[in-house]
Amino acid sequence: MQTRNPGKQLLAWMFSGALLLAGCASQQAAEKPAEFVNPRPGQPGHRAHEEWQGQYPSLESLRAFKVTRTIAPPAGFLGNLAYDPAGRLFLVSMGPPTNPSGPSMLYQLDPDSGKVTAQAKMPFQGDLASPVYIDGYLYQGVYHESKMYKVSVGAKDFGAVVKTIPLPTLNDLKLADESHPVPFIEFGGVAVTPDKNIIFHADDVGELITIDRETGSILNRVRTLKALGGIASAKAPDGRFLVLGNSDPRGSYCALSYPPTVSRSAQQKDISWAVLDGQTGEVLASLRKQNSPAYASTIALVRHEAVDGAPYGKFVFLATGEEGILTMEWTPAKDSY
Amino acid sequence: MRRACRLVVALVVAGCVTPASVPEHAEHDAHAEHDAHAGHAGHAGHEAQAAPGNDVAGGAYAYSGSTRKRASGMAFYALGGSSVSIKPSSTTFRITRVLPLPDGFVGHLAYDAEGRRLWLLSHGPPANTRGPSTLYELDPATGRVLAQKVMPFKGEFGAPLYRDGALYQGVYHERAIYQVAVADRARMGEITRTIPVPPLGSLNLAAHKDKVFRFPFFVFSALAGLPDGKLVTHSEDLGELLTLDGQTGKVIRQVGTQPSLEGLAAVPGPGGEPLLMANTNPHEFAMRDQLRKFLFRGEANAAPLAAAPPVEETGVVWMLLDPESGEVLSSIWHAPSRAKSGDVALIKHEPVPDTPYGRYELFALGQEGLLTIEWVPSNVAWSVIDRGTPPQ
Repeated sequence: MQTRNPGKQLLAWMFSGALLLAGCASQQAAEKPAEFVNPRPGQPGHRAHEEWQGQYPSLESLRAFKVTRTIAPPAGFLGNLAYDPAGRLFLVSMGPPTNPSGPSMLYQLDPDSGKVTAQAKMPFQGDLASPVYIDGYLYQGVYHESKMYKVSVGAKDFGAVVKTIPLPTLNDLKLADESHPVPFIEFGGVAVTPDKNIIFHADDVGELITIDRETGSILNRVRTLKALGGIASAKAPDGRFLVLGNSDPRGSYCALSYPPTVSRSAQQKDISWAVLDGQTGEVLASLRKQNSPAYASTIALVRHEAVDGAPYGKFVFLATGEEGILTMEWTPAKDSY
Repeated sequence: MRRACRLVVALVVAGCVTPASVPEHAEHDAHAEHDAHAGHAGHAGHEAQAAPGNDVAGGAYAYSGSTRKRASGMAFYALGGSSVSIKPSSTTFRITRVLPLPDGFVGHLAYDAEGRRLWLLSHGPPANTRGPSTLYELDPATGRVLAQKVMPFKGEFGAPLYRDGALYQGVYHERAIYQVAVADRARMGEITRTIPVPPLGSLNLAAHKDKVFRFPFFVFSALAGLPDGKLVTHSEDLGELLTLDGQTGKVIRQVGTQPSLEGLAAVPGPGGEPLLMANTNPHEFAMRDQLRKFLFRGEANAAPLAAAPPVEETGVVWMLLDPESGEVLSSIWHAPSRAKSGDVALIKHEPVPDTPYGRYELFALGQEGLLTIEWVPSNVAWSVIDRGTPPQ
């Protein structure tokens, strides 16, 4: 008889998800059999997790990481952000009951002043993943519904849900002998791939999963860190697909997309930042910021610049923290994983 | 003493018990040790050896008259803001039979006491890695599988309720209760109705303003059926008993109770009034509760609980509750427990002279298989009902 042991199940959650951060052994990736896109524990070619907390800072690395601007979100805002490279900033607030102050709202903000230029009431409930902007639409994942909502942000139909895209579930991932209590894939961080599909970080299994943005079908899976909050994507000067992410190493299984409602202790401000190879999930560069002004939560790329001597360039991105919406810059050092 | 301390530590971590209650509970356990030293079996591993009516055996933390009384003639406990008086009484709890379960079974049971029919329903993937959710009908006398049907359920869920020829299976993450035909074996497993469960946001959350809820659904345990057709379940998120309209699923009533109930069944009280039989594993609840907070960085103030808890913390508390007030009327603590929390179904109830509630014969699940349990509840009870007092 198979024993159902919820305690073990929880421990599996907590210790696979909460205490370990996935390191990546790229050599074994090549050995993975075709039938398992991403081998799970017990399957041939599985890559074991390693503890990862990010590299402690040096004076040089700290100077390469900074907040350049702060704007205020709408009063009481609790949610995530997305950015249109044309210069539009969008916020989507959590729905009830996660957000007790009202319905989920979509805002368009002037990224310079923070002024709300458009807003719409949204039907979303509970905790939400970060939205992403692609070609005139926001794609808003509601992971506990296993759905991605395609939302227009055009002037005439701002906030209109034009399509609902089914998302894969944990049962689609062929997890072998790995038990999870609920079928949905929990994810917070979402970004855009170079071919304008959607990549999200599956928290429970520590994978970057790429899906077709219009059908939700899985295009790629890659094992990576198990604890990422927000993610954003960029193209390296050498053409490599990069994923920028943040993580709370204190719990490792970080805050998903949900900003805390109480003041953070010093320990809770200890946030790790990583640049990942979007194709392999490997950590390329990292920085453990001990007094991070940003939560380990939603981020959106504003721009990515080539910098001499910096293999991964400079990331200019938006994040959220106690002080509001932060514009941040990071130029990761080489071999700082 | 150590047993009690560990339990209370677990409950303190869960935010359920105030530290001020620890010495009281420790004294409670000291009574148990006194009894054990007096030559009584004091652990659940000896459950089957206890004789019916033996008030100091059967794995209970039982109390002899000489140790339970204080000068006032009554011990008094204050746990988590809820006060429970301990009165002299008899307590018997024992496992009388074990039957095998289908190989690899992971799920819940339901029982039709009148028709003497027993069903098992396994969890669906990904909670069940062995295959799809499957409904079994078993011979309650032998454990032999009489019929089985693959079901469409996914993930985990609480125990189903049998009522009027159907099983009622709640699936919390789908906010639904499925009515499943079982009366006619030829139609067994047919989903005949889906009752919507209201979203968490539609409930009265006035008593939970300090909590953060991530999902629009609430996690609920087993379903119990009241004689008037209403359903009762326990919300893990709220620590409340919820009474639902059996037809519409609308929440009619919310009442605070022991915040960790898992198995739940309606049973007759001494005067025929409906009571609730429930069980819980405090350690598992503490884990779940911590996990819920752990995901939120801002509230994650405590480290995860130990990966390998002492055997005492794997214990199960069995309770008899008043569904109206949510108060715990009687309770018994077993550690280590052969039975797991999550399932309880009434086989029969009979009065026993000089006992407040009589004897209950119950089905439950354990690692060994399907357990038949007898319990004669006493007036001894403890609870950690949250009355709104902030944790200290």
